Amino acid sequence: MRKVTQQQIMALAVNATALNNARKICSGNKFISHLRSEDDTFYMGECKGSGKSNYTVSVDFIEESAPVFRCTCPSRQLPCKHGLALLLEMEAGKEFQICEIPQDILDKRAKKEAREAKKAEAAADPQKKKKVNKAARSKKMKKQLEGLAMLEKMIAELLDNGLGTMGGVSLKSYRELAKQLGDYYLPEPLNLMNRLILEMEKYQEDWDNAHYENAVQILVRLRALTKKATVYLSEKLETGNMEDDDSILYEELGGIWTLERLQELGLTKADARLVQLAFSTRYDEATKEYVDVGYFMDADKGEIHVTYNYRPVKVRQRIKEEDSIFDMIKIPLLHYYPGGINQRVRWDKWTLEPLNDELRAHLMQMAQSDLALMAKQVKNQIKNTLSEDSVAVAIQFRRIGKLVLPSTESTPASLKQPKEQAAEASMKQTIAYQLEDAAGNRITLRDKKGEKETVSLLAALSARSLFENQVLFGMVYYDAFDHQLCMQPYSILTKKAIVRLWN
Amino acid sequence: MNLQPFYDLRDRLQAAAKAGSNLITEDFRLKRAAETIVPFAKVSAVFQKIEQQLNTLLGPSCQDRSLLLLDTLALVDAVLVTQGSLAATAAEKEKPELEPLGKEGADEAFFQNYQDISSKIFRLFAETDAKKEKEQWKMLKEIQEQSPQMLKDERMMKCLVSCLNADDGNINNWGQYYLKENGKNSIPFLEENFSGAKEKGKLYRLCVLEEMAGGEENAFYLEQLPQNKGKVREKLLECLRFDKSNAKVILSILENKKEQAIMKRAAAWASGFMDDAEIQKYWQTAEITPTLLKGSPQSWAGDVVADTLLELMRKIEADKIEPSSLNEQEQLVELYDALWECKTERMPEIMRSLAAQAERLKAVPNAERWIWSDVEIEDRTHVAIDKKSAHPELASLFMENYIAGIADGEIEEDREYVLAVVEAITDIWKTYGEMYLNAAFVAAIFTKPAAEVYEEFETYLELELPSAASEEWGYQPILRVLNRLNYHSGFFGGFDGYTYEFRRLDRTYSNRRIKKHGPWKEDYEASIPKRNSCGFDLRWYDSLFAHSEIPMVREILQERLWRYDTDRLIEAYDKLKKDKKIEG
Repeated sequence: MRKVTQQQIMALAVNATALNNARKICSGNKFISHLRSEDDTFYMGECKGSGKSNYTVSVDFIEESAPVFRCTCPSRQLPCKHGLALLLEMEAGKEFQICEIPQDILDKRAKKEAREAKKAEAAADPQKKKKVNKAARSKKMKKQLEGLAMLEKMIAELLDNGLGTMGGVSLKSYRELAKQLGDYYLPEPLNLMNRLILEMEKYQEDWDNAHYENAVQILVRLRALTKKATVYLSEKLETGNMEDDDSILYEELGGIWTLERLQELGLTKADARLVQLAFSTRYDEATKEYVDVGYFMDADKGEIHVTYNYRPVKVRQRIKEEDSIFDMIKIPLLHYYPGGINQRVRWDKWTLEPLNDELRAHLMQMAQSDLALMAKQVKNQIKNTLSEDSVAVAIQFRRIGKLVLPSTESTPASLKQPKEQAAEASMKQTIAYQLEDAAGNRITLRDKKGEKETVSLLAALSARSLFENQVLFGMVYYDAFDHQLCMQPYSILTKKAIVRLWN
Repeated sequence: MNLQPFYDLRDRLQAAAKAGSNLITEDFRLKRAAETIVPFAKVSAVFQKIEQQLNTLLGPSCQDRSLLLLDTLALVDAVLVTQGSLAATAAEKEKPELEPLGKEGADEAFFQNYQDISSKIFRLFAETDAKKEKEQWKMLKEIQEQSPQMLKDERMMKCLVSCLNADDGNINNWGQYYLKENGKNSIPFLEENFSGAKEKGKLYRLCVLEEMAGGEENAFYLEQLPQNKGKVREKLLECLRFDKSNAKVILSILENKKEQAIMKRAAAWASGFMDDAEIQKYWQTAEITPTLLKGSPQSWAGDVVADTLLELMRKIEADKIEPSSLNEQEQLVELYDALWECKTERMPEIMRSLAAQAERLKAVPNAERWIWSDVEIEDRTHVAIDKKSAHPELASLFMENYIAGIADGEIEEDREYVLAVVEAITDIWKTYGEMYLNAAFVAAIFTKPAAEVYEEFETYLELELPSAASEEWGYQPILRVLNRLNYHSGFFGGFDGYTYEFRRLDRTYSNRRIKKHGPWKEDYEASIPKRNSCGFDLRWYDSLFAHSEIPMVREILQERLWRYDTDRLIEAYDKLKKDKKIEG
């Protein structure tokens, strides 16, 4: 009898509702029959549903890391609640009668095998590789260049008159212009334009100057993207090399990486082991989509990777919602995206293995130990305008502690009487939290603007040992307020647990 | 290297982007910032590039000024990021000492309670959103049913604190309950981002905080006091009662003529908890009503209320005041109300005076607003008084409730005081008759053995029994007291009546306050101290069954007394059914 864990089932569920519904099926004893094959690769059940006839649901484990779910119900979710319920029945240790594997399943297995063999053959033979339609690519690139020129003009016009002129009426026309970028196959510049418009809208609501600063940063990024993308595309057109390459601009210009292409570029790793350090979902107002973000540590190399799962609002019910994973993920073939320190990763087949104290201790060893070196690496990455403005790192520390400092915020001096000012200065204090590495270097722990707060949660935790000789995972960024590199804590790695703070 | 010129330059470039690049040539501040960069140009190629770009940007012949402005900004940003520092380097010798975080000895409990909790759960509670409350409530119930240990995870306390902002009363009740369950670990979460919470959330946070920490968090209350107003400030003033050192703050509020009345009331109530000479002196000459000292544990406060009450009673006795006027009635009730659970040596004197004037206090000139059945009184006493039928008087009601409350709470600690009050009540009962039977019965319950109580009071069961046909509850002293034994709230489970009923009010000075923003659940789930009343003599069953045709008696047997001898009760009911005396 195959063993299935709750964690595996949770990881397979499309969303929490599906899992809850599956639980209801089990608690309602809706399964009429429980069957499994002699070789333990196939499980099947007959389940009462709302329809006239019962649903037949099956899970095929012929490929361990990618079980195939089949069900006769009309749901478009995969796995549907019946499939999950069947797994829950297995997890609960229900008795499954031995049966023959149905012929249609055997046929499907054979077809799949043939398909994969063909795929492997194609991958092995370079001549059989899918050819790039050069004419179509060239046409697209030219259109993109046209769009970039239009965008550049738009930026120039906007800045000639100043961001301050972006009022209610002009915002509308900018939105119209931004929409056109979609016609020029420029999705990322379109997103950036939308972000710019949102910042300006927010500014009109709360008159907070921070929105202006953000808007200027977006414009700087747009300008850098336009400039670099124009050079990149022009070069491609000149040389006639229409193939996807590992430039980050490919993705910025709307390119979508396929796992096959990543494999062709050698961006893969066999038998990878990843452990999730942090996970959360955010809503991106500019793109109108939910993004599930997961940070993982490679258990062999100690590298930090990131996963993104995009769920546009309109179709989010049909897209699997990712969730926190607390076990170690074993991946037969891990695919990397081109990028800097935190490369994005993807995989299609995986299994879970429980995480133990030994492995957690091993992960702690893999973390960086020198804060100064880490800072150098981070700065090298984030100084690039097109990079993310923060880098995820795991750093070993000697201690995390609190500092009480005189406050830096106060009413402008000109508005106050000296006496009042002195009295207030003596009263106001700011509490800062700092991490210190073994050598004595320190970094300030501070929430990044616009991010979920985690520092206060960290400071409120009661266990003293969490703050001594452990590993902190978090995002390192440059804070222009006091010109420092700061770190927002996401989780604390200890031998006993990975204490997650960012959710 | 002093990078200030670059920080200034960045600010000026940003300002220029806001104002428009068309005006850049006239921007003298940017020009001045650009001039400060010149000396750096010799230091490195990047600085030189910045200087060159600035020259072009500010020059008259620049073609793409806007784009160059952004390019320059990008370059300056890159320079500043590269120069970004750590908080301190290893080479720095004199670094400020870091204060340790966490608590000694808390590790074991922390890791024991730590759970692998899905990010979805944290996210659901992260924000206060009325639209999500249905989902939050569902999730809370699910967690409680399937994995209640999750609520002990310290990280969940942040979620529970955010529950205190919810509009749904169930959610914030659960929030409070589990925060209290987690003990003092919840304190940092309650104090964190206090200023960002809604008014309701702040009030609930303070309710939990005062119970969890009491005076330990006095510094926090004092810090928050000037930053808050309205109900939150009122609550903060109440929280000051725990620490004697707050006497000066409280006095300053009481003596400030510009202070709002509501704040003064809160300060006055808090002052009643202080054993402070200045405060006592204040109350001796205070013009505000001593009723605000209600619930004070200090004997001086009881004396202040008692003195005012006795003075009023003396005026009534001397016919200087007509007690039938509404104001005097209200004042009297409030003063008696203020004596609630207060101890004062004048109590026997007060009770005797009350009994002596009972007939005069009975006069009710305003039928529209019958003061004795005011909601506040009714709530406190749990007596459903029918306006049309005979009713208990203020005197008997007060005595009954006072002795029940004080005896239950103090009989072990201050037996002498309780016995003095009991003696006064017994004496009044003997002197003035059956009107004080209920008070005497309660006094006996707390001071005499069960058998003796039965033998002494069983005979009074026959007195003014309601008719068998009457569905309404009449006033029969013995039945009414028996009905209050094992009072069942019907909300969160059963409690021992006398103990529960009188205990749950001792922390607040007004029932209205509890209803408005006090936590009902907290009161319902308050720990129940050991019950001090005597046991239940089973002979009461026979006496009551003899009158089982009376609905009130049947209800008492069913609702209150069943637990003492269930088998006997069932047997008796079967018999009644057989005799067709009852249906169903």
